Amino acid sequence: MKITVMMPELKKGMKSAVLCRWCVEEGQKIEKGTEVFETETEKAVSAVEAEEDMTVLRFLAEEGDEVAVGGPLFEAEVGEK
Amino acid sequence: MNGKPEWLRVSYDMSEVRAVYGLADSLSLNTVCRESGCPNIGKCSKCGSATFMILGKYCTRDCRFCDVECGRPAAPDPDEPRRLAEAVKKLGVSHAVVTSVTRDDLDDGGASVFADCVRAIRAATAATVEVLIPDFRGDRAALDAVVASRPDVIGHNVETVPRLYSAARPQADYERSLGVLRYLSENGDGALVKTAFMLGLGETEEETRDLIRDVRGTGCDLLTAGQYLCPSEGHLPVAEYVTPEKFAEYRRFALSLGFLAVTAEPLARSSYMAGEMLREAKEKKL
Repeated sequence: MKITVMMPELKKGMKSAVLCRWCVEEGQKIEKGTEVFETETEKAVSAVEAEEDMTVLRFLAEEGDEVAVGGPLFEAEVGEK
Repeated sequence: MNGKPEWLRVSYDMSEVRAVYGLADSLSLNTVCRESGCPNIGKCSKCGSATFMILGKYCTRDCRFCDVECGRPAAPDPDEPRRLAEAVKKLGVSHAVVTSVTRDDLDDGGASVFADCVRAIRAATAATVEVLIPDFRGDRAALDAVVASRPDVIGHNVETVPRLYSAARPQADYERSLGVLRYLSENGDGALVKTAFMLGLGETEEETRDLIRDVRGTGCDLLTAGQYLCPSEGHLPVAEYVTPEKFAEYRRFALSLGFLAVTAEPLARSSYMAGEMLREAKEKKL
């Protein structure tokens, strides 16, 4: 099943965050817990982990982009095709 | 300061974060983790733990380092202790940490609600209980009320060195906070006494060592020190990112003065690894 992963709200009242760095590549199969991307909040650099096993299909944002909370980050394939 | 040092990197599994905070939301409970934008939310959620913040989400003080909103709080919710105990039970944590906003609008500063929460957790679970209290304006009757509920740990934070109080926490008083720690050490009925402070607000090394001596001089048992992290442009700026090595130096210094347990690292917060600190202190006390 194809899913679109969105920018999570990492902090109360957070409206958007800058996508600092991708930690994976398009086409990469990753397991739950793999760090997928880094963003920076006021207090720390935050790496967000995959919530389940997946294949990263396509990035929908580039490093340096400011992405709104709930805005699309990447497409992935999860579960059995 | 722009750009964060490498040691201020954290990770999140949002499914675990949602599980913990979904439970808090379902029981209409606040957590200081979320209200203060704590960077350890990801790590603590992995352990299924959170620090609950009672007495509402609005604080009557306006400390310039803190992300908890200052405002006019609502009346205490008499059902909050029951819901809090239910959350502790559902999370299954072995050590529960409860703090509050400062409630200078209440006669006892909210001490009776702290006591009700400790008793409710005790009645519902086998968890050890730690409370992190405000200064209650030094009111000894309020401190006695908390002590009478028999928490395992009573914390009160000095937060920073005295020279920075007027800038960082203008409605607080360093000597009053030391007095609270001293009173609890002498009248705590066996509870371990704990405090915490931040580094990186502009304090000098000499001031920091003086603070550690001052705190130990009150009889305080447990100490936590962490990096000040600026919540927004409207708060005090970070003056310095203190290295992990420097934190380790302060930890060794504090332990040499006789603290039972010390956690000093950049991402340490008041309740960071609180259960582990309690276990370490208990082992030393045996």
